[in-house]
Amino acid sequence: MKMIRETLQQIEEQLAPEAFLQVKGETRLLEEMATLLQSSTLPHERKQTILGCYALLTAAYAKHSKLSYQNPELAKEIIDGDYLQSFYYEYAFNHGERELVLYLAPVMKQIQIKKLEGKPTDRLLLNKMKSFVDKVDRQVTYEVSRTS
Amino acid sequence: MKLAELLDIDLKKIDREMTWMIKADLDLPMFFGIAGNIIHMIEAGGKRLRPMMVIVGSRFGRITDPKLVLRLAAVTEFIHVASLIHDDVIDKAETRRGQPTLHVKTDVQTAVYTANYMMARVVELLAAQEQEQEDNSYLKELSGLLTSQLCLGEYQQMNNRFNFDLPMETYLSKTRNKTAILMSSCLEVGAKLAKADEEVVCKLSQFGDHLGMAFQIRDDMLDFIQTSAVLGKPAGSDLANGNITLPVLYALQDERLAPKVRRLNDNSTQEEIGQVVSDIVNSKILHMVDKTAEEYLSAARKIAEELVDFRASKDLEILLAYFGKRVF
Repeated sequence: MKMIRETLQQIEEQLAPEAFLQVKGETRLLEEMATLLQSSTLPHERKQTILGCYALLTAAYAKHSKLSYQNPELAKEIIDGDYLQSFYYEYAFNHGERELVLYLAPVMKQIQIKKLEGKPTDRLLLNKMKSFVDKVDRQVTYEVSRTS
Repeated sequence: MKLAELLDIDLKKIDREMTWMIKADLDLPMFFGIAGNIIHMIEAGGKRLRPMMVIVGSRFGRITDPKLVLRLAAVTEFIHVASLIHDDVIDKAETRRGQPTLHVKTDVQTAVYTANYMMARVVELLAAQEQEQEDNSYLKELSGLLTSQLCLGEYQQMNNRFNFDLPMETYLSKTRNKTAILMSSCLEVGAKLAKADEEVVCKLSQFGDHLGMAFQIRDDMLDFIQTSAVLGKPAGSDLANGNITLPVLYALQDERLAPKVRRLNDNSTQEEIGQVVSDIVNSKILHMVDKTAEEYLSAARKIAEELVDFRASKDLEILLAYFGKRVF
């Protein structure tokens, strides 16, 4: 999907070169998020930023899953996950998505608790992102209808 | 006298605030071992340098909200404790402060998720605080502390293992990312919280940077001169791990020492490492390294003198005396 490709490319250009990182998350969920954003009334740039935030977080979660000393890349995986997660804040703030950071904060914590409990977390972030997009979509529609 | 006493800071309050962060989390089941594990780590203590820096920084401001300063000071330490959990996994450390490390008590995956939970908890608290007071952006201010720079320092170190052609700028940048930025950010956050003038914030940030650089350089020297009993790891561990520090960079500029250093690699024996360590100790290298640390300290001292009109400038002198302690 073009939007995913462009977003990932935009993020990877902004990541520190010394990280040698590719942003990889669950393709199916990323496509679902992109489809949802495409049907929203948000400006293209904002859609891309929100998708970028989602991609960074899911990539960070992927890096921190199935970790053990049997993994020869353990140290790199931990640092990559930490970096992607911290870069999410940098990226979100730099692109004016403070509102999204504040909105996602409680669920991001709940996801870590669920992971500790060994419960599935796949759709938690996606669902919260969906409700965020719905919320801002409604705000945009309301503001447009008021000014027209 | 301990640093906290010299600075008139009650560390118990910081520990209480950190414990509250866990106990007040209604999403975290208290019967769940995780809460207990985190509280044990808090109770195990630590130097608490970061929160002390935040508090000192806040003393240069015009407005003080002691509760808020305490909250954010505790947040910086909470982030630090979380990052130590990941560090311990990466370094395969079995103990910390005499206690088994979290991944030893549980497992690698649980330890990593616990640290992630702690980071996420901090963000949740700051986000809630921001929603209450919309004119402030604590989260953005502190997001720089959420390990991004620390990771860059780790990458720089990882990518340059046994790279004996490491440029000085890369070494300095790595040292800045791993240590100095934290010190400057903590002072800066404290000063901004207390609405200090922009110029003062900037000076405190530079002071923290110089102090952090001096501290890390001297800390790198310890790997060469302290006994393994004091260090808790074999002397020369940094070198054995291929970590290029300033003593090694200076040794590479020495015609006699450079070839011996360049022969070291991942497979070098403890004896070979020990020989290079002892050659460096018996040369003038450590004097040169100490001189570099002293230059950073002088720069920090100069900034402290520029802030002499503030009562809190005496705290900067205390920090200088503490971090500037000679190790050699």
